[in-house]
Amino acid sequence: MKIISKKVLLIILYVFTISSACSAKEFQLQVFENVDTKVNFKPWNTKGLGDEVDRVKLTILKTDNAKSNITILRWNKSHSNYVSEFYEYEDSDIYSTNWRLKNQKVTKTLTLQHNSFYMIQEKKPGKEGGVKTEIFKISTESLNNPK
Amino acid sequence: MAKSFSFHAVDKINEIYANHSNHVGSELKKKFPKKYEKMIGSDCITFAIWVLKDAFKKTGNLAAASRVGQLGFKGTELAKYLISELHWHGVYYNPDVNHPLDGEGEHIVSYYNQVKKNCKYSVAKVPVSHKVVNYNPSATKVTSYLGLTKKDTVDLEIFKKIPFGIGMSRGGQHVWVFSYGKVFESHWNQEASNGLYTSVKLSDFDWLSGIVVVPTDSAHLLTMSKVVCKAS
Repeated sequence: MKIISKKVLLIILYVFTISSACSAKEFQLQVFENVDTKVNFKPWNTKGLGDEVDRVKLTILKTDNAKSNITILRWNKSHSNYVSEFYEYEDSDIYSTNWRLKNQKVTKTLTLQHNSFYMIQEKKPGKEGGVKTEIFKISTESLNNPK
Repeated sequence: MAKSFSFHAVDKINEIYANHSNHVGSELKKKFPKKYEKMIGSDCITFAIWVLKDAFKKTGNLAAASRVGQLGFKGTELAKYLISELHWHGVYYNPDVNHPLDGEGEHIVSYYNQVKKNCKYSVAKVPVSHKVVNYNPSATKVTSYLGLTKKDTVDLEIFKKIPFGIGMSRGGQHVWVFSYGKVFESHWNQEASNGLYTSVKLSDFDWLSGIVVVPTDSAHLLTMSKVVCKAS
């Protein structure tokens, strides 16, 4: 029950943030729950996107404005709570739309690749590191709009 | 006015990115030949060659279109051909010449021992005329006796105006396509619907040093820092 409350709280916080930021124009909040996400990891200097190492479920909060910021809720197994990641809109062109994780120690980028799938990339420094890539798709059919 | 080479190349990138539902990564096709028998195999250098061939054909250079097809086996040989025979320009890139994020000395060596000393990239000695460096420095040190690198994005901003180039990293091990500051890659282990073709900003690219070979129609845009070395 506590877990659900925290998730709802984070959604309300996101709604409040976007409603104050977008007061000039109304944008529809979109909540995508349990989005199946493929997690790949590749060591540095290897081709491709690496091997699949995990599957996770993410909750994605955005609006129907293509340039809105995006919040991602991630279930943290070890602490049994949701962790929110706030991605700020950066820019876009015909190939992709780009967001960057804000206010965190790690650098993560989120890109919508040629209007098809979303890709989060995180670089892990050091010789044993590499690139962690998370790929997910969201569609309006899977929408769960809060009232 | 007739469209120049670079803009034909950009058209081809757009065409592939807009329509590739029958493509699959070449490694997947090799691994599962029955499953993907009707699909076209794609990988990093194949994608680059498709773009080059198409642009050469459309600008009437059929000899070059044929030649680049034969050089598809090795990135640095392709780069040397484009530079020595067709007078393209080699631009060296490295987000942090002192403290590479992956901790690998090759990025430091490629700058100080190859580019800065000899105006050449990799053991294949690909000529380099310009550089775009230190645009995304690391927050931690790799080389203890060197201070953290100061961020400088001036050359990167100039470089973003270049419409097209062929990029390569780790001595040609990986080949990719460059356009307006972005890296376009074909990933040989992915399906079309799941990340076969991606684009990322050069500043976020995870192959941490290499060259971009730029055609002659963009020569007037190459106003970033020139490489000054003993050889020049």
